[in-house]
Amino acid sequence: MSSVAMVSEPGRWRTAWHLMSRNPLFVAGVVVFAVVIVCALFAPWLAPYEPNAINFADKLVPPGLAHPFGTDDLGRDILSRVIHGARTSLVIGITVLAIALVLGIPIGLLAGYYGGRLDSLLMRLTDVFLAFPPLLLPIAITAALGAGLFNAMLALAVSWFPWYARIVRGAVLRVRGERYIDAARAMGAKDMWIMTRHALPNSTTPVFVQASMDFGYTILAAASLSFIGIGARPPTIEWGLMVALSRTKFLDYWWIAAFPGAAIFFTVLAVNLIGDGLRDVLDPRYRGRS
Amino acid sequence: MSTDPLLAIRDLYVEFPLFRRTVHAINGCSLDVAPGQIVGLVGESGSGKSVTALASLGLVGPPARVRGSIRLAGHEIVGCRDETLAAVRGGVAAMIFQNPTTALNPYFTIGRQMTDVIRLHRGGDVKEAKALAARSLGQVGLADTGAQLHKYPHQLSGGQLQRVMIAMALACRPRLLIADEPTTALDVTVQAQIIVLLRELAAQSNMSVLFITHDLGVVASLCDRVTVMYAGSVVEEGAVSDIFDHPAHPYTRKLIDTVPKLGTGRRDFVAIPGQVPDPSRRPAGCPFHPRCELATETCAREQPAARPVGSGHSAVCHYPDRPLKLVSSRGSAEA
Repeated sequence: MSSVAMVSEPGRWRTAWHLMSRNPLFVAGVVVFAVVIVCALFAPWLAPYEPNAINFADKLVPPGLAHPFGTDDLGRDILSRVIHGARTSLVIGITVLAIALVLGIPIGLLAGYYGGRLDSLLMRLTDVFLAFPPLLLPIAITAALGAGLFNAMLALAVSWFPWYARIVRGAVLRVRGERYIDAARAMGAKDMWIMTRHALPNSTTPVFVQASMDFGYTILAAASLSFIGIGARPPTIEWGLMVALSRTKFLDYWWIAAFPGAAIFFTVLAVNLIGDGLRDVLDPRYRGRS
Repeated sequence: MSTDPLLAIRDLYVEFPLFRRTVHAINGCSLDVAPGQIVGLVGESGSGKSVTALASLGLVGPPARVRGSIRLAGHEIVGCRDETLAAVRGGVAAMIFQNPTTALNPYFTIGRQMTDVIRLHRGGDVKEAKALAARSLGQVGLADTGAQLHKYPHQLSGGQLQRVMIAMALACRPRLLIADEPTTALDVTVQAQIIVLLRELAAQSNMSVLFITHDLGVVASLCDRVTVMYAGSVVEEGAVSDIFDHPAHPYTRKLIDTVPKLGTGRRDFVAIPGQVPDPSRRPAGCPFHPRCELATETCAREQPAARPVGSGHSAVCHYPDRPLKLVSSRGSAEA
């Protein structure tokens, strides 16, 4: 009985955790990302100052005891702004991935399951989106829709979903030939049922891994869009935007750009480390390699 | 045959168009399964047994071309609509497969998959379906059914999984069970248990079984009637005793000869010379003639028709009664 319980559902996660905890980089990623999440959730309580409070008396103060990360040219506390910026970054990552998955998974599922002409049609449609240089398409879409954080997220999702469509399609193609799909059909299951109950659950692992890696890139891409002025707009606190606004001054006052930049760097790094760790555990091809 | 057959296949043709050629998987197969009967479908690999089984449930889809008629409990399967198929599959006829370890979804528990199928056909709530699933598992001889329901497929052995598949198939009370080599992947003792189980369950619920196998021993112990297939067509059809005692078609005779027998003192294996023809380049005339020692010019030219060689026993051969040269040592061993 105990040996059976070992491989049942909670045990599977325990095994996964055991494998992951032996990977110090993964643990480091989890710790850093946990800090980011805590900052995002409890920003108003953690931030020492009101992030948008302008105080010309204390403008451009270097990092010190009163302002650990210094202040910017309007006298706003950079630490408070970096803490609040975590919210925006997480919202961006989650929203972009959610839209990309909602678009990409059904397309990949239909294309992979039915194959033939539908497959060609859907895949050629997604190829159109893949044909643009990575950041150019979101720039074009945001420019067309009008600058703003939400439009930037929409644009990023639209340029990201083809990857998920392809990953799901590939996984479904592999699963479609499995006996249990035939067996389910022989038992009278309809296509929709087979797709959602059998094909999709057996195709989620690569999507999961890819999404965890992309989370960081999404934050990075959104920061880039903000940096060139078509992402977040000034009242919104966003790390990329903070770097962008410091452009004219950061040679003399390094801390204005350095801390939001470091926040982007560490968050993206942490998310990538987590993604790598997840892939090692979930994808048997990488297991025991590192 | 007095009663209407439950499954009646008439002149079935299944073709798979490839890039430059067409694979003729089934060439005019006809086959009947009467209610309550266990019919064995025998043949070597590539003779079209599995395709016949899959086609019976409408599971051979495009790009394959299916012609002919398959009537299953009054429903015409060839060219029918998806809704009819979904109702027939699992409800009227269920199917079990060769390798039970791959026929269940690794992601869900046995119980979840069984209740899914049960609710698909009988409706009802999860609790009823679960109770029925547990009862079916008990019926197929699995102990501790409550615990089995919470297991994942990888936690069960091949024999247990095949029992689960049978339980799943039987839970919806099908009138026909199509078993596609259900024991091939199992070891011999488990194989025997599954055969006994199938025979009991079929007798209990008056269920018909179409049993596909290449194992003549299994056929002899399980089936009422036998249909022998070669290269996509039926070559002989009859009651088990007739087929084994008086095989008429040269292929059947040779096939029975290939089975090594205990107690004959023979250690060599008899093989049928030659190979099954490439299904995309079928010979003209009788498909067996290149390997048949009785073959004449007629055999190479004309396709033979089924001719009766006894009551309820027919062979598709021009010369079903001619004696074969003695390749078999059966005669000499008896002498």
